[in-house]
Formats: sequence, C-alpha cells, structure tokens
Amino acid sequence: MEELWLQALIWFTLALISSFISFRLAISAALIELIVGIVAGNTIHPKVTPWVNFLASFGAVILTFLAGAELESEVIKAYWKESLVLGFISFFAPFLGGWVVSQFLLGWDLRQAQLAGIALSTTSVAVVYAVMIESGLNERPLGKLILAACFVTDLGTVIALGLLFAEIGFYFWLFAVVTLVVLFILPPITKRYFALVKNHPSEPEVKFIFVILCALAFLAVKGGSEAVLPAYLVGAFLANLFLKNRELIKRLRAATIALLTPFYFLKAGSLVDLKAVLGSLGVLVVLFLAKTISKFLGLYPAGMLFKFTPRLNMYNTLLMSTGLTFGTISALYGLRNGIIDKTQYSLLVVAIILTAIIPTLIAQSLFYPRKADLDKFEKKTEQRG
Amino acid sequence: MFKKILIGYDGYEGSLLALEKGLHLAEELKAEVIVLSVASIPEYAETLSEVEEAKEQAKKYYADVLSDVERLVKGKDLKVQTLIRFGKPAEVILHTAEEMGIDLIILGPSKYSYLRRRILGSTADKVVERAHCSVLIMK
Repeated sequence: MEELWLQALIWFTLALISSFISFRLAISAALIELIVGIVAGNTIHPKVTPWVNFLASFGAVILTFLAGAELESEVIKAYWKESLVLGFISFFAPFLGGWVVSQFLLGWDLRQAQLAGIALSTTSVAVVYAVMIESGLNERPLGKLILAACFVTDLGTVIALGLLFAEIGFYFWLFAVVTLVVLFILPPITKRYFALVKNHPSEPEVKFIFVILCALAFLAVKGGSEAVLPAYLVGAFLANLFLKNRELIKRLRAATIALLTPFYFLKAGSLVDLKAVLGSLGVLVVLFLAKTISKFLGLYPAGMLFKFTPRLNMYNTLLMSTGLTFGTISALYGLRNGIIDKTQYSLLVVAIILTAIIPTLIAQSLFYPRKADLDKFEKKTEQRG
Repeated sequence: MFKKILIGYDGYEGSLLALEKGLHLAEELKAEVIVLSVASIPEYAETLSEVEEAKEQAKKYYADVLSDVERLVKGKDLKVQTLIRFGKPAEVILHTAEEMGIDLIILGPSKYSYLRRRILGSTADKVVERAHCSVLIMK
C-alpha cells in the first residue's frame, strides 16, 4: 500500500512543480507538464502504473470533450465556407505531407506513417486563441474565422484517429450506431436533466457527463476505435448548452486540470526517450518541416483565395501550424496500440512541442497583424458579402 | 515636445513611481496620457476556457489596479485614458505605442531579480531597444 502513496507523491510533486513553473513563466501548465514529464522520464523514471494510465486516459478524454464543448456553432455558421475550406486543408495537407514524408523519406511502414500524418495534422485552438488575444484579433471577424477553421481541423483529426485504425466489425458498427443515436438524443435530454438537478453541490451534471463519456469510450475501444472521437463529438453537440452554462465548464475544467490532465501530460512526456531523439535529430527536423511546410503549401494559397493580405495570410498559416494536445493524444494512441515504437513516439512528441512554440514565436515577432491589414480585409469581406 | 505619452502600469512600487512622475510630466507638457496595464495570459494553453478564465481574472485585478490612476488624476487638468491589454508586456507596449501614435513611453524599473533579468530580459530593456519613440525609465 505504501508503494501506491509513494508513486502518487512522485506524480503529484511533478504536477506541483509544473504548476509553479507555469505560474512563474505565464506558460500553460500543459506544455510545462510535458517538458517536466520528459525530464522526469529520463532521470527519475516515475512508474506508469495502471491507475496512472487510467487518470491519463480519462484526462485525454475530458480534454477532448472540453475542446468540442468550446465550439461556437454561430461562428462556424457565419463563416462556414471559409472555415470548412481552411479547416479541411489545415487537416488534410499535413496529414498527407506527414504520411508521405514518413513513409517514403523516413521509411516508416504504412500504419506508422498514417499515424504520423494524423499527429502532425493538428492545430491547437487554445494556442491560437491565446496568441490572437494579444493582437486583439479574437474580437474581429478574421479571428473568429480562424478559430472556426481550427475546430474543423480538430474534427478532421479526431475522425481520422477514430476511424483509420478501427477494426470494422460488429462492435465497430454497434459503437457507430449507438454514438449517432446518443448524439441525436443527448442535447434535449441533457437540457432537461440540467434543469432538473440545477447545480446541486454533489455535481450531478459533471457525473452525468462522465457516465456518457465512459460509456462511449468503452464502446469505442471495444469497437477498435478511439475514445477521443465520441468525446469530441459529444462536446460539440452539447456546446450550445455549455455556452449558456460557463460555470459548469469552469467546474469541469478545475476538476480536470487539478487531477486528470497533469497525469496525461506528465505521462506523455515521461514516455519520451531523449537519447532516441538526440540520436535522430535529422528525423526530428524532417517531421517538423513536414508539418509546417505542408500546412504552408495548403493554407497559404487558400488564404489568397479568400483575399487575405500577405501579412495576414502568413500569420494565419503560422498560427494554424501550431499543435499540442491532439497531436500528443494521437502519438500516445499510436504507442499504446503498438502502431509506432518508442523512438517514433518520442520524435513525434518533440516535433509537436516544437510546432507549438516555433510558429507562434515567428507569427508574433514577424507577422503581427497591423490594424491597416485587418481593416483592409474586413472592407473586402463586407464588399463581397 | 511630447504630445501623447504612454505610461506602463502594473500596480507594483516601481511602476507607481513611473505613474506619479509621468502624470506630473504630462501636466507640465499638457500632453495626452494613456495608462496601459498588460496582463499575461497562459501561452500554449490546453483549452479556450483556461485562456478565458485567466483573462477574466486579470481584468478584475487590473480594473482594481487602474483605480489608482483615477485617484492620482483627480483635480488635475489632464486628458487620461486607461487600457487593459493582454499578452507579453514588452510586445503589447510596443504595438500599442505604434498603433496609438505615442511619442513618449514611460516605464518603471524592473521588479525582477538581476538573475531573471539577465536570463529572460526585462520589459524595459526590450522596449528601449525596439521602440519607435523616446522611452523614459523612472527611478
């Protein structure tokens, strides 16, 4: 029994250290937890026990649910054409680029290359949003359009992850049918249920969400798919309800960030083999470039189509090249299911961390959107609309 | 000489000194004043709600901090505007100054240790190095 408490002490101490560094540097705990996890995994080697695995997996599911629940359907409706085109390209170009480069340049097998493509296809909505707040872009039409496109990209990633490696059989179809039915009936049922329990201190709303997500996660895994797919979809279908109940999101997020996500990010980091990364720095550069160049080749021409000014177009392309949570979720899925080995996992995770940092820094320092560019774009949009 | 002055203010001792002296200088020069507070939001966030929550908390904190300005301006013949913006302090100060056509930026001394300033640099150093206009550090 004391072993359990010792392990809990080690993991929570790592989480506490990460929180403190995050507070001092004003950098999100997610990135710091990943880095602290990498350092710990290569020095003190914390044990990844079954309960750590459960908390980490549940953390990934709830994080994905929250990402879906933050989707603003009104924004997508307002910019559906641009967001669908940009979002789809932002998913598909790096998916294809990452796949082709991994298979034909790095010599990875088909499934490994596809997994690399998915892990590199992501765009981090939260990273993009935080950057846009600095320029005030989040309040303007272009910012809302970019955010809507990021949601579409995320959707592409979770669908690809949920379906590409699924074993199509009885349980898969059972999972697909049940998920579709649940998505259809869940919003009205949830609305009634929330009205019934009315913020009771025993948190019946949070537990209700947990039950739905665990049930669908069970069916997804039984059907050979991935738990994050139904989590994102359920979040997206309940988004309008959650938008009206921000306090609930806050409570759910507090529980998740205190107890679940530290285990997810610390574990994801601790499985990175730094020796393997240092021994394959060339591969790391190739993976990083595969993502950023294919995002550029896909998104920049699309931006021209929508009459973005060159500066805004570069800013958008760079922001949509960022990735973090969904990228690491995809890589961890690959490792857990034996699709990729530990070296490939390590290289993918470090490449994903780099894509969260480098494009953001370049966008902020070299392509910060000027007011004149934004006004020009909005004027053009008004003329067209 | 200076028509539009931007004063960076975060509520700490050094920046309060900059605010007091800056307002005095602006009164002498009959210049317009913009008092800017820059709130940090977590970079590389996990979820949108994390960013939103940090933004709300910062808004509350800086609304309180900026009430100092009202107190100091009371009875003075000064045109003062207060602003709360989000992001990296140096970057936001530089962009705001450019956007608003500021001709003098006034800041307080850094509140961080010598070691931290050497490793990460200070806001004042970055602003002095890259500003399009004059910068005055009050001590």
